[in-house]
Amino acid sequence: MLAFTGDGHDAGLDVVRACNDLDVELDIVPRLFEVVGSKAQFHSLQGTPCLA
Amino acid sequence: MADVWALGFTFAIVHMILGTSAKQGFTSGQELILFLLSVPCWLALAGLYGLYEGDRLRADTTTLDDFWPLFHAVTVGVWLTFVVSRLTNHVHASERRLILFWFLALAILPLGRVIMRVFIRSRVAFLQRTLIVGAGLVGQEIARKIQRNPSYGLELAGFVDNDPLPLHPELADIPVLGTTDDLSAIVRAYGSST
Repeated sequence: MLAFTGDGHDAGLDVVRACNDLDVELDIVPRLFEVVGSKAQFHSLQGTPCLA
Repeated sequence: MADVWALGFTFAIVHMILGTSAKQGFTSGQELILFLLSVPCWLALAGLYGLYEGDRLRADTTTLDDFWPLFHAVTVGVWLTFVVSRLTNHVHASERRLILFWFLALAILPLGRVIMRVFIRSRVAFLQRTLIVGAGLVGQEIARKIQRNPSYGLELAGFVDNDPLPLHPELADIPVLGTTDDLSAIVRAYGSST
């Protein structure tokens, strides 16, 4: 479960890649989670995922 | 597995109440074989409605979340059975039988899922070992939520963080296992799944 660390974006990406390589399920706490409700859904803006 | 048992139970109750489809010349054995042949179709239909994804993707999935997809899947399944039975001469399920099956399945399938979830989530063998990357305020809050809710089926193995904050007293027994550079080794060592 990826919460927030002080290591920055690239370190977060390394964690995601490591989990993919290890075939480990990963939950990511999104930025601005305080205002993202449980009904939020992903949509795609030309390939970039956005939470609505 | 819960769905298979629930469908079988539903079939058995319908059979007990209405007996065999004697008008169509079926024996109990033939009906049972037809039912068993239809089980993979029911499971495939449930899969199409995402009824096996919730538990994998979300720790807090409840049977209430399943109800509408389950309602749709059962309704479509019964409707398809009706259509197939009318289009073929070999299988002919009566409306009465289908309606009773539909009603009972809508009650028994959710009940089966509740029982199976309670059973699975109470077994240590089914707990998902969990690492939290980030032992800041957010990571610790998530850890406390996991600890407060055993029904999520998550077992907290520890934190991974290069610069963790002091842990909340409630988390005193949760170790910080290392840094993000050690993540692969930690996952292998602790067999974490999340």
